[in-house]
Amino acid sequence: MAGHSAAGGAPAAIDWPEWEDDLPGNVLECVRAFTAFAPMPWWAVLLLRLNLTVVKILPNTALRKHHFVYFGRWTLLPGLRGTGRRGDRYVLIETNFNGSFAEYLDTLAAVLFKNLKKIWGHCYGCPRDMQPPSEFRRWGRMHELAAAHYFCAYPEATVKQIEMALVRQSGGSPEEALRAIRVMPRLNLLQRLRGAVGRLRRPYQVEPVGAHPGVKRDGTVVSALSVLTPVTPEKLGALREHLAELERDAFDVGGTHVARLVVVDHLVNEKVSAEPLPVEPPGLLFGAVGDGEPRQYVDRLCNALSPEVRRVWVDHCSGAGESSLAGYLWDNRMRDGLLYGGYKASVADVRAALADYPDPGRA
Amino acid sequence: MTAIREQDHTDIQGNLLTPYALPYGAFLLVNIADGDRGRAWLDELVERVTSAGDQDRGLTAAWNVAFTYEGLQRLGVPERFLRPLPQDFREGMEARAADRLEDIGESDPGCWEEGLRQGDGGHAMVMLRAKTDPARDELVEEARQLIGKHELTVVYDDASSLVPESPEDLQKCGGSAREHFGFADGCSQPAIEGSRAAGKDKYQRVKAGEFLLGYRDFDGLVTGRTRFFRNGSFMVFRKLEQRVAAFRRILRSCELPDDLVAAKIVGRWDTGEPLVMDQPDRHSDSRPDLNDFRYGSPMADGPADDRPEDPWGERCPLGAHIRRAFPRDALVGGDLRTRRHRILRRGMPYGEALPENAPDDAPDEGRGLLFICFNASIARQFEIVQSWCLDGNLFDVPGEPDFLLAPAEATMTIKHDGRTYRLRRKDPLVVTRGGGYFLYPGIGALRAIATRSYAGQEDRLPA
Repeated sequence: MAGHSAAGGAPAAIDWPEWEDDLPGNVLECVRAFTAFAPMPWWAVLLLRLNLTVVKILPNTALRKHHFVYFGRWTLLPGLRGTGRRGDRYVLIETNFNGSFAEYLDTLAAVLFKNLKKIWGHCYGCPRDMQPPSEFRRWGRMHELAAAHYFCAYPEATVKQIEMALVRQSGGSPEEALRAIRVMPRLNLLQRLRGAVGRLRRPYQVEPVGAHPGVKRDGTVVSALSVLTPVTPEKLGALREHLAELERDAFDVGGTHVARLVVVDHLVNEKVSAEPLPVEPPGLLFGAVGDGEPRQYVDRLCNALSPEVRRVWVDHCSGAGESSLAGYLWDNRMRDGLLYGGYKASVADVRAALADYPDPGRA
Repeated sequence: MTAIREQDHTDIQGNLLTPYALPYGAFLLVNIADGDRGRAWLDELVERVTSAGDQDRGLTAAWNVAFTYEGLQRLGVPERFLRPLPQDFREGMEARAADRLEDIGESDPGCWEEGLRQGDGGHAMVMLRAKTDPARDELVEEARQLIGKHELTVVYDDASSLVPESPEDLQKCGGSAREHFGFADGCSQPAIEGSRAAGKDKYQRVKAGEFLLGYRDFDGLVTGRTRFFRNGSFMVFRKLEQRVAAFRRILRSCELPDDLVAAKIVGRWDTGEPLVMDQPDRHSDSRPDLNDFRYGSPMADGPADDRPEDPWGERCPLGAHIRRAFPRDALVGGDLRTRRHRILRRGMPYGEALPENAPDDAPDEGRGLLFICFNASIARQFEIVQSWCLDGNLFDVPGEPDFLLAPAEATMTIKHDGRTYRLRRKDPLVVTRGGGYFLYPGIGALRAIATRSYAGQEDRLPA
């Protein structure tokens, strides 16, 4: 269900502006998920593609400077039936961050407004001005969806803890670890070019620009996968029940850093209505970040998933039983997007670093 | 409405726009067993309630009152006023203590003092202030007689007093004085824009709507725009026990001088001077502006202005208490981020000072702070500041909560003269003994509640 604000539409006068809480389902110890589908007119897709290319070419240091986002992915997806006017398109954002929902959006509005405008600027209802941020928060909450299942391989650690622990494990001192999260190195032209080429060629891979060598490990590949599969309408209730019963560590296999399952049965398109509109047929979003190239990751993941987890798709999604699960997910993946990652290390490396340096600032 | 008008001063309860300079206080939590008796009591009480206007004219004594959500229900406040009240206030402190405030271990609500738990029936808090100890006792007696006359009961009471080192200290720190760890308290109080207390420092000047209902806040929003809520505020009360002997033991465990370690933990010298500034002559009569500094960012190309800064925590540690309680420009987003999370503190110490040579904290003679703060949104302001105090990650010291306030074991990294020191403790230094969330209504609203005459109270005020 959409995390729709109680106010519904845009109240002209908010008598009791609530400080928005995190949606249940999006919280896992200190990690939070944010999933939002924001609609835009068809012609804005061209501008968004252009803007995404600009974002890929320019080093995205603004987000990296602040060390509160583990992974974030922007994806452009075609219109979903029943959710708006013909030709409308949706941009999907899936992020994993530490902090609270409201502070997250306030911080984005304060420090990333230029980048946000490039991505969300043409979406219906997106405030033109990010300050004050209350309207932006309200808009974000209107389009946010709660995860039905959310997993993180190291939910007890913040991004800064992870980065500092990785620096310590690679031989860095506590001072170096602190500098790694407090100082953004200046990038020379060669570094900028390399980063731009990497993001243009492999926009689905983590490439933390300007990170300490311990945070960005050579030879390690971390990729994102976003899959939207159609749910058989009459099985929607059963799917929800099934998702609610999944074990907390159901995705703790195959080198998965983070994973979410989100039922997409209603979305808001304020150009049509301030109330959530039904998606026909409903969808199931699977968003994950895992070790290796995307195809390798999908194969490894599907080989390791328990039968209970496999049934999420096989029993409830149209066409899922007809081929291998890995092939099904791969065929339904969304291709058009960009991934941001705060660090580039395998799940095993991150866990080992956190185990060795649970308090990475300590000498 | 953006400006506080002259007539609003007679409606706003005292101690909100500016702190009282009355050093003796008492707090009585009253159970409102019956709505009719409660309203009759309030009808008499309201004539004694001190307004901001009274405060402007000088005071020898002050009366104020605030209500919990259940208290408002019991007094028969119509549902149309109660329904839209924010969830934080409706739920109350105890319901949110574990998740939002990390009141765990000894601070768990299960360990709170009798009378201070939500189920103990404290629906109204009467706050009394006086110039002298005997005058305070007389006020308490008068308040108790009034409560008894209407067959209501007091479920909890406590007395408090400021512990000034000198009258100058009291004045320089905005009416607060020394708390039991020995620090001048309340040195960094925001001032409401448009009030007489508004200072020149932009960090201290805050939009009225951040604290007062019915006024514009920094986002341009007006919280509680109806006449009934205008000039009120939400009040947070917490009884915080301070373990003074344990604090002193920690100071002695470090090889640095005690007063320096204490200052590093807090971020200010005991007299209030911030560590970010060069070490001042603390015995000099002339003192610098206690708030004319910022923290600075290590990612900035250079200083934003000529005020002192300390982005690496060389003088004021990154995890120091004052960096968390009011991070100024230290957080991502800078002032735009922090300005929406300010609180107006109006607390007072309770209990006798622990003698210097006392070996231990005597458990029966509790001492600490009766913490009180005002804000327009408890979740956005008080609860966020509390979460900052318990989160080292935001301040680049992951795993290090506020050394003073963390309810469980804690560590803290401090630097001095190029060397790094590490403080450790197992037991808490501050323990929550109880508390609650209250509405501190305007005096007009108090009269409406007392007389059940709500005509005109629903009127929406112009934005």
